[in-house]
Amino acid sequence: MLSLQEENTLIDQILGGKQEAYARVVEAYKSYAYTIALKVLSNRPEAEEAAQDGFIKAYQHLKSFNRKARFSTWLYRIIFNTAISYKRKHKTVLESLEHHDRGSDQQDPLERNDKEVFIARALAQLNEADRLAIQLFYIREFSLEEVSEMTGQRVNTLKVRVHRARQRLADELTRTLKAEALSL
Amino acid sequence: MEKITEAQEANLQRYLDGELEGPGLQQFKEELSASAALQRRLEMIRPVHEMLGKNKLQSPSAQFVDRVMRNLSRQYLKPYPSPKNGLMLLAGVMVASGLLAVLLSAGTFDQITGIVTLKQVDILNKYQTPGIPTFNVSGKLIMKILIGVNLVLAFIVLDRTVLRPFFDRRHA
Repeated sequence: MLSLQEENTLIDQILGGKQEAYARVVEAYKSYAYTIALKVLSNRPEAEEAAQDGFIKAYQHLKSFNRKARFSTWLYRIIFNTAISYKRKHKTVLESLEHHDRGSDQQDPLERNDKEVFIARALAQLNEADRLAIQLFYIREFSLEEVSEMTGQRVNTLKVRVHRARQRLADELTRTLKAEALSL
Repeated sequence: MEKITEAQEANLQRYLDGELEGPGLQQFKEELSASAALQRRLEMIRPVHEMLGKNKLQSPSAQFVDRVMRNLSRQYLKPYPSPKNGLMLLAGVMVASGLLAVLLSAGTFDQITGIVTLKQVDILNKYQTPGIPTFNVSGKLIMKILIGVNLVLAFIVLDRTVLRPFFDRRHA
């Protein structure tokens, strides 16, 4: 992640016509952007495309960035909105979260903890807004305030969503474990 | 069976997020050690909290930066309404215009005429000035205007949902 000073220097260079300086910005924020898009779309190729489009939009509208907020916050909001419009446009079929977790760490499903599998399944059953709130919140690098800026929701609303989602996941986990125990 | 209050549940969540501190934290810890139900609830929520906490940043493909840099000057396609919705709207507008045209040509509106005189309006009589205009209203004329408006609307819909997206894509 870039410091505020580095961000401003790079933005000045880009606005001054040094296009290649944008590569450093993309390099610094690509993982954040891609992770946000992936949480929204749950589909790797689409998330990559949405993140790329988000970076291109941010570059093309850089002049309108007023520097009141951090560049990263402004960028995350663009990426989030781009991913949401991709979702609406392409009506993405949600891959199971279990599946894309597997893709990310190449872990054999048999090695995965049962509880993790159950939680991943329960997560996929949450409503869209709660699921996104809890997933973005748990990307540890984002503060609740940043998630709020990104999604356009109030901090308190997000907090309620995160707490409610966590309770539901815990309830679902308990129910599943009980059912598993009974079936043995 | 011992139940957990809403306040305890809220404090439990704040405890997990590390938001409790000082006397609040101390008080919650005391409640926790005294309540088996609260301990059970914590044990239910903790694995969820821990597993979600393992969320890592994901990395895009190795060519990501190159692809973005190559496409920076690409004209970004403006979002257009879906062609399906646009064509349905266009069909509706055309059907309405067609019906109006049929009714018009059948002479349905030929007899609908009238005169609107503003002298009949009381409030204007109060401040009466000479030469308040009088309008001739013809149903036929109104329908012709409506058909004209519909045709303009139909052209705008066709342009926004079919023609512009098509030429933009060809150009891109």
